[in-house]
Amino acid sequence: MRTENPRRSRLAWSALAAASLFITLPTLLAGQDPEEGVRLDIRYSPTQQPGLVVLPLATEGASGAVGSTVRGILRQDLGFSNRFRVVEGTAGVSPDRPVNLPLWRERGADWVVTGRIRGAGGGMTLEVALHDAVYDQERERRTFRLPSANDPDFRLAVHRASDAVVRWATGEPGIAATRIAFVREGRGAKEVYTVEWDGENVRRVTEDGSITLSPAWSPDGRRLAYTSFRNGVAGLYERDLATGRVRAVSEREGINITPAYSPDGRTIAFGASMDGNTELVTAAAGGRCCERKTQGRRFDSLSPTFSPDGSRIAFVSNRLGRPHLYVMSANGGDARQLTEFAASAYNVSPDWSPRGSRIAFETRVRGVPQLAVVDVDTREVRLLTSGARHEDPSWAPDGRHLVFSSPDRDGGGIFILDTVTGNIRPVVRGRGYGLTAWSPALGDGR
Amino acid sequence: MTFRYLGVFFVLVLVLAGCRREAPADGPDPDATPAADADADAQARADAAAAERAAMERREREEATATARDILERIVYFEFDSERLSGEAQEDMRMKAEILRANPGLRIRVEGHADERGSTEYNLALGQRRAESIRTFLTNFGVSSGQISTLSYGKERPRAQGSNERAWAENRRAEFVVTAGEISTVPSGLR
Repeated sequence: MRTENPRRSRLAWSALAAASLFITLPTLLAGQDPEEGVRLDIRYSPTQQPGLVVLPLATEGASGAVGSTVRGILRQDLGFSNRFRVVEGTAGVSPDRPVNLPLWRERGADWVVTGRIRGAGGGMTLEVALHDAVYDQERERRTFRLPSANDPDFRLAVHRASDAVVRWATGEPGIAATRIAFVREGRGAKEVYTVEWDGENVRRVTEDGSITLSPAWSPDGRRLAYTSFRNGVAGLYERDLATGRVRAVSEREGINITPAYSPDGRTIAFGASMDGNTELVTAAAGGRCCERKTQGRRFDSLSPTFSPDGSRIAFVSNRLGRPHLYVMSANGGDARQLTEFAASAYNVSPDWSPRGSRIAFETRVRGVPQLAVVDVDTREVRLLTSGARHEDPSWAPDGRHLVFSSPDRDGGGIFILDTVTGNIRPVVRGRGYGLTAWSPALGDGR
Repeated sequence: MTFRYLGVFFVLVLVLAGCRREAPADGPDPDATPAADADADAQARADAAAAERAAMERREREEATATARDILERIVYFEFDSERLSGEAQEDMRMKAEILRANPGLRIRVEGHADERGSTEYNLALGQRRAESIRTFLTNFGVSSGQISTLSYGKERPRAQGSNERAWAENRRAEFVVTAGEISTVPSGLR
């Protein structure tokens, strides 16, 4: 059993990091009005991160090449987690000798990861152990099933091992065993694709030859809901990713857009044309459509996103003329305005953190879309980006990282932002990417 | 009201009236019999003249129909983030309403579009508002709601490329697509 250690400052770092998320910018909304001339102030807390080294893996049966591939994925994942400083200098280290923790502590590693691959071909296992160099002891050890290196789920299996290391070391969930859904434009069509969080393994999901928009993951990661124009209406469809089977959720006349699953996976909420405007409706999974949730009367409600407990829905409405964020009970009823009213404001694309009370959204700063978060309870807003266009944020399962798309940042592409450190890294590069959605943690067989 | 449109309808009225009066000349004459050569020549000339007249009338009818179709399919433009119909747009819409009322079998789809500013998803709702605004106008002018369906493409199908005022203005629009039926009756004018 683990014991808490007073000397350990890692927890303190996490707390500091978390606190920094609530540094607020009361001037943000005013700052959207160019006439106000308010300086935007984006602050991230500098965090000192613990050192971590991944030692060369031992292999019994498997080739050394598999070992170095797996180790490469582990190192990259743990670096991308933004929770460690990855320590190098492992040349000449033999995986078959006992790990020398005091030596690695000297070299700046607080954590040491070792591993062993057994078997070959399709029947491999990957055993990963986390050692605490500060206390000179092993912390955790676990064996993962490892498909053959050319199996499409090989990398996902290694990502799961990375996520276990993150959880052992920090108590927080890792986010490597995930995929990011997005829309890509090409040849007059837009189709849905998915990609692993490190930019590998791009998979095409739809082949409608039409406009496909706004993919949303089911909470079990097995289905995607999205809008497609393939049948002459902006219909809402749900696709089983394993079988490829597609179900029409709604092909009502007009538009059926911006789907979101409830956390229990039983309901899809979305915006649909009703009585001359766009209203929030819900459809039971596999059931009839639709139950109406808002009564707009000449204004629109769209882009729903559920609170983690499923009791509330945040959404976009233009009831005051400009699009703003609102929150209401998932049963419908009165909505409370979340972002403060400003004549020039433009707040859209909300995504409720799966682990808390923060909602990421897209806001306009001098006409340029930027990412921001608002705390549902305090209504405090924090701006996250500046400069280039930053669009359509979606939370990782850790409630800390955001994926977004940009047409012009570093030549355009899909990027991941760490809301604690401010680090931004590209996932895929190029033009025509948009409407990103981060999957939940993907377990075995997905 | 622009005089150009009035003129168009004036022409349509004349063409329509012409059609009715001359209609019998369209078919072969049942009383015609092959007699003397002179008679045959005269008959042939008369037939040729009738055929020419019929062809001209058909052309005029086709032109009138084409003009009506042009009016029906003419794009309507909007201001930024607005679904309000301008005076010019309303004038245009009244003529569209006349054509739809005169042809109850005609079905159209109104497709709303937005410029590239604004998010993909909010622009879908904006385009739909524009389409709905047009549907409301048409039904207020007596068009059966069953003749109109609506759809929004948001900013997904721009007509003009570019990030400037001219392109944006051209992309904030509603398009009209005939989905069933045809224009068989050209309305006799604006009331």
